[in-house]
Amino acid sequence: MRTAIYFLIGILVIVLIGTFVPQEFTSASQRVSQFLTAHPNLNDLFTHLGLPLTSVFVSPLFYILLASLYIALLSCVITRGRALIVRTVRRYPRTPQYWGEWGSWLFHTSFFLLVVAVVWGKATGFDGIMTITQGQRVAETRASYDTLQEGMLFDGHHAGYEVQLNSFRAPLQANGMPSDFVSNLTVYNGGRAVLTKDVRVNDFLGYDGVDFYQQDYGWAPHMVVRNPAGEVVSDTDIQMISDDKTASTGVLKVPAFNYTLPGQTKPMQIGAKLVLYPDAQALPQVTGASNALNFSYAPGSAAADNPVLEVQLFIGDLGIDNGASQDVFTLDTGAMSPYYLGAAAFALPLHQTTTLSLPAANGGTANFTISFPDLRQFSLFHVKKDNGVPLVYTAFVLTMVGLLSKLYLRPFLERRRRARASAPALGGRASTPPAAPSPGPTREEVLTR
Amino acid sequence: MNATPLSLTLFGVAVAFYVAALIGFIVYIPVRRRRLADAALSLVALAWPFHLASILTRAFESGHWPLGNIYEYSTGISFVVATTFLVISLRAGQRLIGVPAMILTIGLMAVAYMLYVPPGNLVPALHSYWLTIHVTSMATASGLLVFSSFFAMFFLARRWADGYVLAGAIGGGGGTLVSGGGGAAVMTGGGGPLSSLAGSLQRLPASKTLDAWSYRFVMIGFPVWTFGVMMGAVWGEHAWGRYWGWDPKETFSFIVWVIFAIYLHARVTYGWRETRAALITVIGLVAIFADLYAVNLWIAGLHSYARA
Repeated sequence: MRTAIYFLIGILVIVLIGTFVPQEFTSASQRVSQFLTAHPNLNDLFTHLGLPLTSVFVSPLFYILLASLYIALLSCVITRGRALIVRTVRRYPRTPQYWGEWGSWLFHTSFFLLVVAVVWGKATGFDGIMTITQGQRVAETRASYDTLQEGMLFDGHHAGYEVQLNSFRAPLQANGMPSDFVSNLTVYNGGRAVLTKDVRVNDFLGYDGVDFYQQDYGWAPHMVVRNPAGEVVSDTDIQMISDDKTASTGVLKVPAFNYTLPGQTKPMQIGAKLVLYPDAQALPQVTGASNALNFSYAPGSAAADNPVLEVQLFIGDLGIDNGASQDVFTLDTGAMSPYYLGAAAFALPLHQTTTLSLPAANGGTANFTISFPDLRQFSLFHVKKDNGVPLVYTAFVLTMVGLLSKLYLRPFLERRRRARASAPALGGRASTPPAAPSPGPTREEVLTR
Repeated sequence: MNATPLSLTLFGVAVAFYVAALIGFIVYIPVRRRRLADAALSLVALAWPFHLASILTRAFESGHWPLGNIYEYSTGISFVVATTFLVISLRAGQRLIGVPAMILTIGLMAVAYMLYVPPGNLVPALHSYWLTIHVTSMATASGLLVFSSFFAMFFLARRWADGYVLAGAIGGGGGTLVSGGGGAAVMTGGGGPLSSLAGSLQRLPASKTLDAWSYRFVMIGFPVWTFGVMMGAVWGEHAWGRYWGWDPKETFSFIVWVIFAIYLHARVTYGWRETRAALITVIGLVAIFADLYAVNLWIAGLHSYARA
């Protein structure tokens, strides 16, 4: 028992550290890196001790302590379980204490079921993030996920059905915050619509063992790029990220622009850093407006009342071919040059097209266009399969039953026994104090004070 | 700006009665008149319906279960504390527990007032009947578990008072065992402030009784806390698709759970009983309030909307 107390205290300390130090899997990554740069030596020291401070819940020390606690628990459960079985088999008298012991045994044993349920559920399932833009239909397959973690024992078979985001709405209240956010999803199995549901926080969609949870949402401006030959070289919805939805950022990448600048051998690529204001507020013009670049916008509300994109255009090499990892949210401008001097941006309001020119072979210019025909929304879903959940809930029920039996059944039975023992002999009231210590003081005890 | 909502007016009336009651209980420590304590208790009983009415009107004003932000949550816990205190006082004749109970009730309501938010809509994450189940359990468990700490503190105080008086008696008899001011004060028969305090504290129930009361509140509060944490896990699974995610609020409620689990084990472990066990519940009290305020206000996490 004493050993278990020390293990519990150890776990307590680690959990305490995990509460106050930003953690890699649960806190904002920015805060984690901030902590790491602020305390590099401290973190190194603790990493050597088996407790990397920003990931304590997956640290060796934490697992060692948990395992030790479970070993202590196992020895306790076996010893006491054996004693209880012996008492049962040999038909010793069933005292209140006997039933309390069973409750305690059940309470402690349920933690083994809990750990089995958690491990089995995580190992045989998966957990991922999927983005779906309005109108888009996506298959529940490995390739459709932004991020995906499959358990070690996952058989690799995804459900394969398709999910379509029919509509998304986030009605705003007077204070500018959404009162709700709702994705209308339809599941298509074998091309046939089998289920349509409004998915919102607190109301998920589950089909064929896979669950879709509304996690986040954002803007997805639809952008079309035509090269000087007039070919559509990019036609996509761009996922924008933001904290408050009144201004969001994203990146446009056109790797197959299919145009070669004069004097170069390699076809050029274009890319742009984008800022979207769904409700752009035009600021007063600064000095002498000589060209289209002289503008300035500020964010307004989160409603799509006046959508404007600020486009900071770059041309050159996107760096995709060299095999480096691709992040859809960042633009590597190392091998690119800004289209405008000083990397100035131009404004592109909704439903408009901007025509831009490039040098052509004969010394003339070739025009290409960037359009913003539509502003859509995307919805971010946490998608997961976890078969362990019902078992986890079973463990919860057993824990409660065990705990309540341990804490209440024994005192209840003792009281009943006393009442029975005293009732016939003394006419209803015990005149002598009970032999077994009761868990609390009697009313008389307190009142005499 | 609208006029003050009725709920806030009722809240103010309740606080006023509670403050008057606290003054009564504090004066009762040196004055030792039972009628004074009874008058203070009546003030609490008078405040209680206003407190309840404040919570109910708030529910009508905002149109949701009144535990949706930290103002409502603090008010809710203070209501559990006040109610529990009334029950203890009326059923067991306890009066001195009114001092910590009223300090906590008023403190919680003061914090609630500082973080006041006018009645309004809930953030989307809280649109769920699980709010009622999970948050009500947590508030109730918090309000109950604090009493185990109060009784544990009384236990420690009574222990100290007994020891002090005993040491004084021995010191007075033999004159060699005790040195220093404490022993001297009793020896000379003088009523120094410490011996007066010890005398007052000796009016508390016997230390064994206080320990039993402390345990009794863990016995009630711990299963409720366990249930609340589990229901939080079920809600987390329902809303976010994970029943546990080491979110700061989750880790802290786990810490509180472990502290009281240690307490239950300590009570049956030689060398950990009584004093150490009592200290554990006091740590539990600190943890409950760290969980309630520190985590919500200073650590960002999925539960941070409680301030909105």
